[in-house]
Amino acid sequence: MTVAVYLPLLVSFVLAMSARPVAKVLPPRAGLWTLTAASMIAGAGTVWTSLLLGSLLVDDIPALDAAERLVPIDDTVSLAAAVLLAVGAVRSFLAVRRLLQARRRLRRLSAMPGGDFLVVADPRPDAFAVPSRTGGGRVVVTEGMLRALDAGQRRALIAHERAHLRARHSVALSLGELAAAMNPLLVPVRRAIGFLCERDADEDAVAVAGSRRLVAEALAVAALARSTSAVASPLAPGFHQVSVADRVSALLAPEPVTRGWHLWAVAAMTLLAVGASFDATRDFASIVVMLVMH
Amino acid sequence: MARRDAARSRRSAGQLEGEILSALWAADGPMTAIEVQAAVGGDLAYNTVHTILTRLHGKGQVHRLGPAGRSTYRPVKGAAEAAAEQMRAVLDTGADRNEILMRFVTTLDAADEAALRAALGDEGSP
Repeated sequence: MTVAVYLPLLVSFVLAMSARPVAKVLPPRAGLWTLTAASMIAGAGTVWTSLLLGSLLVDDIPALDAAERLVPIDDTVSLAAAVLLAVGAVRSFLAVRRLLQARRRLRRLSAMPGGDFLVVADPRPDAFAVPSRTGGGRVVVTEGMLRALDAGQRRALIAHERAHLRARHSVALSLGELAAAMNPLLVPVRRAIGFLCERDADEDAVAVAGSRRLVAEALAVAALARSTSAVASPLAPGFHQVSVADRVSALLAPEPVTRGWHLWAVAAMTLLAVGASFDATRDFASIVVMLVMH
Repeated sequence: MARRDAARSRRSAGQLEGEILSALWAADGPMTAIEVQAAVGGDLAYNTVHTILTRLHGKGQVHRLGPAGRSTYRPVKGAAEAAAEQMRAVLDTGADRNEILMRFVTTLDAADEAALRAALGDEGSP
């Protein structure tokens, strides 16, 4: 148990360190869901580990002497685990509240009359997809954005935002957010998921618009229009900014670099975390049984 | 013919509605269906453009002016102005901060802006 119990933490750490470089070479669609699953499992595994280690602190009673010898974990480790658990619980609570709040507010945009493509009369260039609870959702584009782009670029933008909704990227983003809340180590993984969602939608836009170069130009023109917009934009920058420059260079790369074996590496690491959690749980259960027998 | 239809079917009805509505919004005045066809670009058939304009009119998203056959179209703007207020209200609450709202492009920092201008410049030259 002593080694196995730390594996979810180790896996989280490796995921965190490798997320950024790995995200650049993963095939976007498969990669974003693999990373989402991996971060959920690593997040849950960390909670479970902290629970096991932390509970040894609570059970620090004379009867535990035998168990103590079996499981040489000292109180500082248990204490650290308990703190990690508490931090994770508070962060998860806040994250869930924030997500629900955002959803409630965005529902006001979904409830506006109009089709699944909503133009708003605002001179500031902006465009985004608002997911709805039932799946689908709607694309919102400002008049300023439409005027900044030509026909081909508008086609790319519309295809990109529709791809977000069709592929249900908001689910991956919410789950990634939750995993990062449970375990702060996973924040870079959440960022990598955000990057892969954008890359996935960009590739869908390429399929519709028929040209990588066209989509790259649409991104660059839209981003520059937004940053040089005469009216100062009051729109706050997101917590997880995805670099437009990175997306553009991925689109302009001679050929998309995707390496399937990275997916297997991430999946294998995740399975290791699951296995470790099972192992640790079994050991923990046997300690509990031993305590009860005493 | 079959091949052209296949190429065209890659753009779904929803995508085409968006493109046609955006073309009307980006234009300075009302447009005929033929002008819309040119403004949307690509290989869109006139009949398709006409069908979608009729559908958008039915949904109350575009105004149709003039006699049948020589009609011009412009977007319905009243709802869009109300929507702008609503959007500003929603975004001012910071609902866009966590990204379940998926934005096309984010705010650029200085380095990104320089990189983009360079990329556009390099690509722009033949």
